[in-house]
Amino acid sequence: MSCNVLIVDDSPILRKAIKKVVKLAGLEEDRIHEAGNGQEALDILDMVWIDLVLLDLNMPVMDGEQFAQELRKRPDLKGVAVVIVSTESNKDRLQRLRDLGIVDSLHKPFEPEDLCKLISKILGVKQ
Amino acid sequence: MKTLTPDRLAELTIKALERTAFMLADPITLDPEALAAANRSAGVRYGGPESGIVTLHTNDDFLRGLAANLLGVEPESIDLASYGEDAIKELTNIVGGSVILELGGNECFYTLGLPQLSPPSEGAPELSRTCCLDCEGNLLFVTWEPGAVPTSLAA
Repeated sequence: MSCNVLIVDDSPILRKAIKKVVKLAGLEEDRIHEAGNGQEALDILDMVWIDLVLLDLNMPVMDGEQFAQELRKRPDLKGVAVVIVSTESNKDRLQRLRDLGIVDSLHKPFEPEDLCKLISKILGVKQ
Repeated sequence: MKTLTPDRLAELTIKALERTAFMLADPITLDPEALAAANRSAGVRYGGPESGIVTLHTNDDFLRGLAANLLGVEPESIDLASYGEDAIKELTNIVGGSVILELGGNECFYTLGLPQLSPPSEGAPELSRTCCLDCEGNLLFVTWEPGAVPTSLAA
């Protein structure tokens, strides 16, 4: 798959665990990028075209919801698909994120197969 | 107020371990002395209709195994100060997320804070709200404490 994926999570170990799953979905390692919070993610988006962002919500510096709000202000990044990968289950917050254009969400703990399927579905459509 | 039994807390934790780290665990009878000997802990607070805190207590060997499983490497290669502590915080976050989903159901209006290492304890954990798991030879204790949250953990 010749797409770029960005994993945004404040836990380095979970980023690595998710990265393993993303590789299982068929992406090459050099196409998988990592950020520790929303601000770092925006910095990467300024440098690299990203097709899919896997976004945690509860993070220091800039959380996932703030990141989604910033992303929406950027017409040049309109084509970036964002999927929430988080423990979040607050109904109001998830609705706000859907209103911001989040395409899907996956609740932790998730089955690795579920993430694989989600990545294939979203990136398969984009290719 | 919906309550969580230690058995249900154990089920949620077992599911988190299986899905996140491919680790198998079984509930066992809680031994207060073993709990007192646990030298690693992390907690996460939640708020919403009610507040509370979920705390995990364990030891270095469990942390090493958890981090190794998450990374897909040998336990001996794990640096506890970085990946070990990160691993227990993330597991605490995931178990906390499962607890608020259990408390709130599909109409969940709870929110979760950021997990923290070694939260200041106001005395020993309440045993009637604690479960104990044998996870591949190491003990993991999970405590659910509804009610007031120490101000040091406030988001």
